[in-house]
Amino acid sequence: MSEELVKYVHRLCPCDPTNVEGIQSWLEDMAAKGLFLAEDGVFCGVFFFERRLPRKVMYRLDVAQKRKPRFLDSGDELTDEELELYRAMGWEYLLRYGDFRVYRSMERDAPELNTESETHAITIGLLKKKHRDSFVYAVLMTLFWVFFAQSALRYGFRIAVSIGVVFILCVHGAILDAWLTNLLRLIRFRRYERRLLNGDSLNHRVEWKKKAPFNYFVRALPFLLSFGVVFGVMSGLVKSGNEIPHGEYPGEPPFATVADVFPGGTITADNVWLDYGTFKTGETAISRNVEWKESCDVTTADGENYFCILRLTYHETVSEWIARGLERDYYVYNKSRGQGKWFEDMTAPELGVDSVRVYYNGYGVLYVLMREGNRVVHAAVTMDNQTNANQWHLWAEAMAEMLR
Amino acid sequence: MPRKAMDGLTESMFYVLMAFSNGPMCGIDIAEAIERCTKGRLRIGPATLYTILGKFEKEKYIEEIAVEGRKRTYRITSKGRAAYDEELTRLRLCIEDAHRAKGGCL
Repeated sequence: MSEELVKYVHRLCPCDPTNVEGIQSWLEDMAAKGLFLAEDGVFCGVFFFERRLPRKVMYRLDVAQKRKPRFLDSGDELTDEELELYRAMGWEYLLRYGDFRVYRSMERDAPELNTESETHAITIGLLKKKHRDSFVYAVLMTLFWVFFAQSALRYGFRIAVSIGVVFILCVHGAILDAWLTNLLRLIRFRRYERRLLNGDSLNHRVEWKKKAPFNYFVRALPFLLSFGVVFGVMSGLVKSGNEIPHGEYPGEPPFATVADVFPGGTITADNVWLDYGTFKTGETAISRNVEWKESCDVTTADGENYFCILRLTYHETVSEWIARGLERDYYVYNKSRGQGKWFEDMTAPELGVDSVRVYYNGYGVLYVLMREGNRVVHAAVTMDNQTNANQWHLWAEAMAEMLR
Repeated sequence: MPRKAMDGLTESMFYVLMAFSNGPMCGIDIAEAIERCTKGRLRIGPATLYTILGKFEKEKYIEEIAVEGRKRTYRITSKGRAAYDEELTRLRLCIEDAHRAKGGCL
C-alpha cells in the first residue's frame, strides 16, 4: 500500500525547545503512530504532521550554526551543497526550530549526523554559552528592577492596591520564569556537553511522556503571565475611570467626611477651580478601596469659617494581616518625610480603634491614619496652618466614630 | 576528566585536514575523500563535518577561497598545515613507541 497524504494534524510540542533528546523521541513516537513532521511544519511551538503509514524513522536535532554571510547567502540557511550531502547520507532537512535544525531519515542504516562526540560538544558548548549569557542578563535585569522599584518593594501593600495584585504578581512571575528557564536550559546544555566530552553521545530514546503535562504548563506560563500583565493594566485603567460625584454615592460612606467633623455647620461644597467633590471605588484581590475628594467652605455651628480640602482613602481588606501591612506602608511613607509633628496625646484604646497615628507636616496638611480590624483609613486634611494643628483631635474622633 | 573541545585534533579533524592534501575542496568532496581514504572505515557525519569546517575557519586552519552560488570551497592555511604536521608527528611517535613496546622495551 503506498503512503498517501490524508490531512495535516497539529500538536503542541510536549518538551522544552532545548530538550533535544525529548523532542527527537517524541517525533519518532509520532511517526510510529503514522504522524510525520511536515516540511516547515512548525509555528510558535505547534508542530504540523502529515498522516502516513506508521513506520520507524529517525529524527535528529542539530545545532543551527551561523556562518559568515556572503552575497546571496545570509549564512543562516543550509547551502545547496550541505543539503546535497545530507541527502546523500540519507537525511532530509525539514525545518528550523529555535536554535536547531530538524532532520529525518527513513533509512535504518543511515549514519548519524554527529559521528564524533567531541566535535558535537563544540556546538552544544556554543548554546551553553548563549544560555549562560541569557541567565546573567536575566539576573542583571532583576537587579535593575529591584534598584528602580525600591519604593514599590518598600510600600508593597499600597502599590498592590493602586496598581493591582494581578499585575504585580505577573510581573514578578515573569521575572522568575526568565530566571528559571535560562538556568534550567544552561544546566541541560552543561550536562549534554559533559556527556559528549566524556565520549558518550546524546540519548536518542528517552521517556518524554511523564513530564509532558508539566512542560505544557511551563510553555503556557509566559502567555498566561503576559495576559495577566495586560489584564492588570486594563483593570487599573478601568478602575481609575470609575469616578462619580458625591451625590451619587450609594448610601452612607463608611468613613468620616467634612460634614461629620463639623456637625451642625454649613458646608458649601465643590470649589469649581479645584474640581473636587468626587469619589471613586475599586477592588483588587486584597481590598475594596474608596477614594474620597472633597473641597469646601465650612461655617461651623459656632460661626467660624474654614476652607477645607479632604483627600481620604478607605480600604476594606480581606484579612487583618493585609490591613496591618497597608497601615505600615502609610506610616512608613509619612515618616519618611522627616519634618513635622506627630500627635500622640490620644491613644487607640481611647478612640476605640486598633491603632491611630496623626501627623502634621508643618505645611498645612494634617494626616490621620487609623485602623480597626481589617479596615484602614488614611486622610489628608488641608486647612490653614493653625487650624490643622489645633483641631487634629476633631478629625481623629470623627474618623474613629465612623470606623467603630 | 573530560577533555576540552579543540584540545588537540580528533580523528575526524585529522582526516579533514588530510583531505586538503589534494588541494582546495568543498564539504561534499571532503566527505567522499575521507571515506575513500579510509576504505569506508570512517564515514564522517554531515553535522560533524560542517562543525569541523566552521571551527577550522574560525581557528584559521582553513580559509574560504571561492563561493559558487551557495557552494563554498576551502583551502588549508599554513597554520592548518602546521597543526596537521604536528599531529602526524605525534601519531608516528605513538606508533614507534607501540612497536618498541612490542619488542619488550617497557
